[in-house]
Amino acid sequence: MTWVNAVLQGILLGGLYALFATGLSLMFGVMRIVNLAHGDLSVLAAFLAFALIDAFALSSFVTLIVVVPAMAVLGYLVQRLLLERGLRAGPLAPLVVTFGLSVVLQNALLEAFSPDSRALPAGALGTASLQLTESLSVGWFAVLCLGLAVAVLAGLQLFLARTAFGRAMRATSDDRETVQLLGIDQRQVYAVATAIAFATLALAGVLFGMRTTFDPSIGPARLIFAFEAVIIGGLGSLWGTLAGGVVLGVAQTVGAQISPAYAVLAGHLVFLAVLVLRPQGILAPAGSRP
Amino acid sequence: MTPVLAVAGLRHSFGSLVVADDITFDLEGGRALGIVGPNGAGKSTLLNLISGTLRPSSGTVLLDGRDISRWPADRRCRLGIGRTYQVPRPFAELTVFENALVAASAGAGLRGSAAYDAAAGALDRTGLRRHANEGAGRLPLLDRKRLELARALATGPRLLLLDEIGGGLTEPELRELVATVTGLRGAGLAVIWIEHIVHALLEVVDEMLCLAAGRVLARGDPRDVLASPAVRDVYLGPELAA
Repeated sequence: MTWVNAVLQGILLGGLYALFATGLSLMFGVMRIVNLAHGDLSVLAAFLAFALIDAFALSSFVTLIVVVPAMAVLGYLVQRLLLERGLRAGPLAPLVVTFGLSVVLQNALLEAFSPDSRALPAGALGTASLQLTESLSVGWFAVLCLGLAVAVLAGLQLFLARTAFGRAMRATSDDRETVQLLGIDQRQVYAVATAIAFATLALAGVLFGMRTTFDPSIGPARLIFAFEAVIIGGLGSLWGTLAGGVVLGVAQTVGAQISPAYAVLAGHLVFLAVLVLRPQGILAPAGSRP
Repeated sequence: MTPVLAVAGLRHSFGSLVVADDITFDLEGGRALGIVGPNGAGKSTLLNLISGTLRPSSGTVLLDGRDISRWPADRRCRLGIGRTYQVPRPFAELTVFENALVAASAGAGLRGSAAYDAAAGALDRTGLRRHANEGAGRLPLLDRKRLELARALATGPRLLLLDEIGGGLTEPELRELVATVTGLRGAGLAVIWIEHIVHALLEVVDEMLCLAAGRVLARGDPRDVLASPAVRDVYLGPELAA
């Protein structure tokens, strides 16, 4: 039963990973930009929530009303003012820009909030759990995270499939030059895609902060989880990202079941195994390019 | 009456290579201009300068009397310039219908059912309706060319720029294309058509312009232009030799 429990907890943890990885997947899918500041930005979102709670004694969930839109606006600006210029200089430049952003963010957060570990209050929800059987129970908070991940991914999928802007985004991802001849301002599409990516990573960052502690230097370690979820699931596939997050989560909790020290290592091993055996990702059709 | 398109003193160079040199002409609605010239004459470059994928080094492009010389391509498209590429570039991940729908939403600024109708209309006009729900990446070459035209039409253009869309078509297909373009011209669109298949051009265009090395070599009545000695020198299509 402990193994069943480990898998179950892994699936729920995977929801949070998937939610966190969505923005990375979206930015790569639409713009071919690998955002190396992804992890640090989620930490920034958590610190924003922390500051709001500190100042106004809000609940962590209420801070989302401010933090998510604020990060979306930041994403829009970062794309328009920083990454757009980088893209004109070639595919490598945005990578360097986001790396620089990562370094700047880590140091700015260190300056503003000190290197202490922080946590966001999760309230009663943080400890409440649902007893499934005598030996099996799941935390409500983890269930909520998975539910949010599925809702966000389904919403994004619908947005891309059914709305005019979503179609424009898919077309832009396909051929950024041709869309301009069809009346699409590709810079605007990119900026909105980045805004959505930042909004989802902000949501994930705050939820991460409610689940575990965070400090200004933890971003890159988080980024690796997002990378692994995206690669395991298959680049550019949103449902793949959910599957990748779940696989990573299960690998970590099952690894932890063997020995607590193996949790993160087990995730890395599964990631490497996927890279070797199925580099296009588990959900991508066989034979498609990695 | 203000011409739909007025190009004056258009010039562009890549380094020391001049690809457009002092090009001036205008075009009214309901009229079609054919462009011929040897490879590398700057024909596609001229369309790029008009559609906005290239900005001219100097000179002006006016659409309906508005100076759009410094406008980006997407804005020019929304104002009414539709362009097809010589090598079709469909959005392979989208269906044929979605390809046209993107153009109708963004280029023509239509919403909801109006956008759907415009997209469906563009597919009808180009004979693509039965392929509407197929992935655009799976279309054979000819249908890709049709999709180029359908997409450009769905943006609701006042000026249509066609870059060698006749190449590789069979004779019946070419006749169909000629009929389509004639119909569009009849509906009041201004059309600029670059084409090597001169006999197809002659059926549609009111005027011909011959480019060589970025310069206008001759311009005027299609048959006169083709018959002029200067044009015969630089450009001798197989149809002309016959």
